[in-house]
Amino acid sequence: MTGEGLNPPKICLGFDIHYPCYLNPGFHPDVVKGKRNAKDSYFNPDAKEDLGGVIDRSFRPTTELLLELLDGGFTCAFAISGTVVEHLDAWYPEMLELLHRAATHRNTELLAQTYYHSVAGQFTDLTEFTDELVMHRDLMKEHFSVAPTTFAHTDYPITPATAEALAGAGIEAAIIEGGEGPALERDPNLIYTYHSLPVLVVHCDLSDDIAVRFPWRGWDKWPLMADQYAGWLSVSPGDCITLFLDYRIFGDFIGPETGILEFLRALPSALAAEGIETVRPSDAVRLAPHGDLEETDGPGRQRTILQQSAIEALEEAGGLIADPAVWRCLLETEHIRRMAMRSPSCGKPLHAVSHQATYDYFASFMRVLSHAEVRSAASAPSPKAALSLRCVPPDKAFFFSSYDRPAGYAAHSLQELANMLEFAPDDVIRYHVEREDFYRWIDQVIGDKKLAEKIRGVSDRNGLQSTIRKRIEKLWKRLS
Amino acid sequence: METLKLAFFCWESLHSTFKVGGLAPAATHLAERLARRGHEVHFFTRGEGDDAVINNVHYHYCLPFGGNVIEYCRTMSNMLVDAFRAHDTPPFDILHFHDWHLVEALHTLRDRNTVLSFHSTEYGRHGGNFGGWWEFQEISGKEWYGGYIAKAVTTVSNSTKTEVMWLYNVPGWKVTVIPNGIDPDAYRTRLDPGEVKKRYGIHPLAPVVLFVGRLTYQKGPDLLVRAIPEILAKRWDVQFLFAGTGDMRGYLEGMVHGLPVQFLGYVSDADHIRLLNACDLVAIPSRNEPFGLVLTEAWSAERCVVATDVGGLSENIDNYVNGIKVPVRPDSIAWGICHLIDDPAYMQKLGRAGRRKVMEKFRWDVVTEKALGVYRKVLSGGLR
Repeated sequence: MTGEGLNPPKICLGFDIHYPCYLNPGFHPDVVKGKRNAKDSYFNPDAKEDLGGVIDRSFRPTTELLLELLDGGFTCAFAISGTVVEHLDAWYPEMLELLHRAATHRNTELLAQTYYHSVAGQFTDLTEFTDELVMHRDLMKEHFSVAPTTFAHTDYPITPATAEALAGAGIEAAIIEGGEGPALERDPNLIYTYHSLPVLVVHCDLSDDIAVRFPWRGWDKWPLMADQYAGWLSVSPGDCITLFLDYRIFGDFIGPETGILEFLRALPSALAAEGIETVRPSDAVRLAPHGDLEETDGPGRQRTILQQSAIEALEEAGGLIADPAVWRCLLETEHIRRMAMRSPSCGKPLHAVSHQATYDYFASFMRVLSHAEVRSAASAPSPKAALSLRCVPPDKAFFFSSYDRPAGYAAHSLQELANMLEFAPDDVIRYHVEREDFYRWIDQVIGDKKLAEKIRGVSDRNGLQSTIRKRIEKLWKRLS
Repeated sequence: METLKLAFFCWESLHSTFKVGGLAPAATHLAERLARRGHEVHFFTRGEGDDAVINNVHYHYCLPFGGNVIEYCRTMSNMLVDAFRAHDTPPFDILHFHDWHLVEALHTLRDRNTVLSFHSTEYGRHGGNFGGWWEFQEISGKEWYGGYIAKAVTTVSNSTKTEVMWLYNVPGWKVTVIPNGIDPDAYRTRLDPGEVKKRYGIHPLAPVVLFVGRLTYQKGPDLLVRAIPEILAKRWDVQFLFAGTGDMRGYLEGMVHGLPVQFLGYVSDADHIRLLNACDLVAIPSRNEPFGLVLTEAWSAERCVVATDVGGLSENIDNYVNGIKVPVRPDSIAWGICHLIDDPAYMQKLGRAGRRKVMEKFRWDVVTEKALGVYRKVLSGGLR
């Protein structure tokens, strides 16, 4: 252990460069009636202009600044998503050129990521996760002539399955989330191994000092100066402090008027004054590991009900949406993040919204997802089967309820209905059977007449569940 | 230290047919821990069946009768004094009485080395109110008299100590604070919270607020129920479980129509532990709480708590460190729950801090040692 009077810890600084596929919140099936390509209506139609603004405010000035600092001996790491590289290549090649200089600088390390900054690592089937990993590596090779070996696993907690997939794909180390998952409550300033994969843990508090609290005038440390911050780092015990910051914090989420860029400019000299060395992640993991991270009890992360519905629907949609580009844009972690009232920030801007906002976002998301599935059904081997398997937005969902109170959950697809029948209370099931709700929903909303007729007389939980499950299995067979 | 022959007087135990509240586990476990240390412990209590030795504690049962609780306790006192006399050779070293029910036995045996433990007071059981009815005055009188004649008095918290000193003029030097002990590992199990929630018809990812305790005015379940609409206004998917039963149940059930609330009634110990480990937050909205066993149980399961700022809860919770303390008002309880409920990492942190505090202060080893300390003082000539 490093204590007072000993060497200050090293600093490992990473930037997450990404521009998400924002949803078009005004999307409605009516607006694309008769249009051949719906993708532009699903997502923010002004993405090009918006990204241009982000570049002007943040990407360009920050990259120019970092290039100066890198020349001066400063060290950092970049995780550049496939999505942003595609956009820059198509719309702003000069920005990509600038980024190229920074990413291939001798003092930087390029990090591996999922190509679409996606939630695929949370699926039960990790094929998409591994695919994206390889796609991203190829893209990095193509544009920057580097094959990254350190993975930025920072949007959701690492799991044994993702760790295994990473190791299988030739990844040698990972930067992981510190605010949740297996690293929670462990000293983030030490190096660990997780299922024999060396990991660096993001220091959430110190990351959020910059990402969240920096512009906040009510903070008792405001205004934060680089030398003061470096002072905190120098007295933070441990081997290596990992900070992983959203690139857009510099100039976009936190405007230049707050002095955030000046803060970044002054940081290297302030760190040097405290004797703190900046290192690349792949160098940091060579420090002595400090034991294994164990599994936490229960599920690693508490998802919300909405997030769970969305992730399940997304995984199903992989086999239903014809255009992979649409599906992959929907995999974006930002979508899922916005379905919780509060998401761990840890280097990202603070996300704290009302339940209404999370619900609205979920509703727009499901509208797009459902519509994309309906559109794709026409070209499926069995359009009817594809339609029966699709998900529906919340206004068409099946809301479980008893005669006197709502049960608090809703099914957005046949699959989810079958899953929820497992735990819906008896009085709830009785209530819906008496009213023939299952029959009517399957018949009129999902549109599977055959299943609806079959289920009409069934009144017990197991019967309902097995009838639906069997049907789902059959429908998937028709699609394969 | 030589082994002691100890007599426990308590109207309920874990090994009798009668089990009312938190008194039974507190007294039973203390008796068992003392027996485990080699002391001879006799437990005089109510119950059917013959005397028995369970976990090295000798249980002596009686079946009292009476038209009202006072009369009932009088016959119980007389029966248990007889049982006591039958086993008094060699004589008992310490006679440890729990609560007011057996004060008449304490009166009969007042020349012996007696200790009286206040697990609560009559005033406290009515939520910090005085009652004008005759039972209230009779019971308060017994509590006063017990505190007066006992050689030593213990209370479960400083606030109960103050209450006893204020209500019954018991001098401070006579009162020692001995918190209720707990076996933290008995309350911590590894399970999938989602599976437990499903069993109650709740979505595995819905946040669950748990209330454990008697549904009586003292425990404030009505305060929590009145806080629910305000919590739901902020977050729609929170579910509430009330484990326990009591005289307010009917009234409360009338209040919750249409709300995501379930009354589970009496739950078995195993279910209780499962619920504790599966819920996201434990609410303790008591109006008066001498100690608050629910608190140490929740902490043992690493759950965070939102509790009212009263009695033992106020004393033992470090605000924002291992729980949140709020004033005794529905809107404040709602605020406390809302403050935590959408931040699982924060809740986990508070829960773990609570578990650390339990390990430090409320393990039975620590508590048994304190009780023995009181016995030793009484034996060496009394407290002064």
